[in-house]
Amino acid sequence: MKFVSQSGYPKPATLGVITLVAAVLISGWFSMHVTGSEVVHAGPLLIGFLAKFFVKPDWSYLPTLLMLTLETFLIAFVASVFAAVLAFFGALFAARNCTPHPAVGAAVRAAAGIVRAVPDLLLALLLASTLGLGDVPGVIALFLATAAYLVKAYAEVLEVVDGKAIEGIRSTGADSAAIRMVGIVPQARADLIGVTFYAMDSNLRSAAILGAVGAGGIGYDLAAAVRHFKFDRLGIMILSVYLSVWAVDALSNWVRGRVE
Amino acid sequence: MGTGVRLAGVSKRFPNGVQAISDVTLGFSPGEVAVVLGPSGAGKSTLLRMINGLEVASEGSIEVGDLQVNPATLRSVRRRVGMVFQQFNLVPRLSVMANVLCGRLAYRNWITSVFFAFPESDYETARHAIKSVGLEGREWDRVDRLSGGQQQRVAIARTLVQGAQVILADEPVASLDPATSEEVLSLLVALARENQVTLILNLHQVDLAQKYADRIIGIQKGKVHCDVSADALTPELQKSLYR
Repeated sequence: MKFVSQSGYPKPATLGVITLVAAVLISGWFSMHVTGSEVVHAGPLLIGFLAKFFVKPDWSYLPTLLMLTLETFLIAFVASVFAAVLAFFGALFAARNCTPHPAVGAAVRAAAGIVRAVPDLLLALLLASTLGLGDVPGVIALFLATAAYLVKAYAEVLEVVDGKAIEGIRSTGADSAAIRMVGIVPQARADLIGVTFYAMDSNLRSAAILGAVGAGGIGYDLAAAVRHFKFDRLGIMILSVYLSVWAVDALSNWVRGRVE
Repeated sequence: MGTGVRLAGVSKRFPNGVQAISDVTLGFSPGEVAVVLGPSGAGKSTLLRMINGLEVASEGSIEVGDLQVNPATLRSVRRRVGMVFQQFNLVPRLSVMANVLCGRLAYRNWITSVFFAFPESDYETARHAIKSVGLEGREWDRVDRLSGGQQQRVAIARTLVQGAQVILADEPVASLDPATSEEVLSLLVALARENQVTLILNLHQVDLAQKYADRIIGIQKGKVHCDVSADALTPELQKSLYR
């Protein structure tokens, strides 16, 4: 798209769009009735609020917290691993350069799309209402949501692999399994792993919340702590989730460094 | 042991209407070293790629030995026809050994492909091929860490373990500097002659063609312009080919 005309000045259309966006922003700001003094005072208020989280942590809660964090982590981990395995096979059908038939590819992509359209929280709620409370509905909900997401993510990674290697393998007379497993997948390996860790990271945070609907893990206690203003617990709970995410991130970097 | 290649009345029209090859009839005898010369866009690449089915001929027939080249025979044809590409077409993240072993994929089943489980005899064959292209000791290096000349040697080794009876080389040295081009080309031709493999090369360097080929085929605008023995390529013929 060209934003600048032959003479070097912006095109009228470009100027029009900029003016429109500016107008929307300005009128939106005023329609929110946000006054200058509110904005100025918000900073200190926020800091005061946040301080409450860390002033006097309830250390007696620590053992329970560690158990719950581990539970949350396991829910995310188990769901992610099973989802990755299923999604890998799914992606071999969904990716346009791997699929045995374009119609099959389209069908797999459509199915994954439908599942992906349902937010994990809703999936967990539906499953919890059928299977009862506990870890199992949480794991299943995350597993389904993650598998659906990963099928698309993996397929996209597989599709952008360099065609030269594929052609090289084809020219040796290799069968179609070989063309995919030797010509395509090894090239995609690093990105497949990267995408998987990203999903794992996201699942950790989702798992933390799912507990709020009774699906196991730290979520139930987290919601309770918010409801009862238990700041002495909220601080260390959030810290605990943060550390878990950080640990997965560090692991991800290490693995990707080794794979490259 | 090389095998002959026969093209009879072969034409290729691409979906966008471009007539890349028109009515080409050529025969290659076993063990022959033939170079295809011609200006860019003449159809040299298309011609070569039809022999191993990477492009499908619109008309005419192509035979490799006793095999007709058609969709049903592709794997069998490709088993006996090895190809060396301008950009090497190796799998970048895999090692030299892994890439060379790929030449054996045509002889193995899907279990080998999925688990990359080749028998020891294949590793032996691969080691031997890696040695004959001068890369002994570098079996476990990743190919994308090698120089262009070295990568092309890996590609040549791959055709060797394939037991190819015909080797097609589509501008094999176009991406290499002049000194390396000579090294790689002389290696390729030497190995082909040693194994009596039929070698068909696309080149744009006329001097290299005259040095290494038995026979030179000139292609211009999708048709055979001339078909002479290498020492019969006169300057006039050359000029008319590249006009």
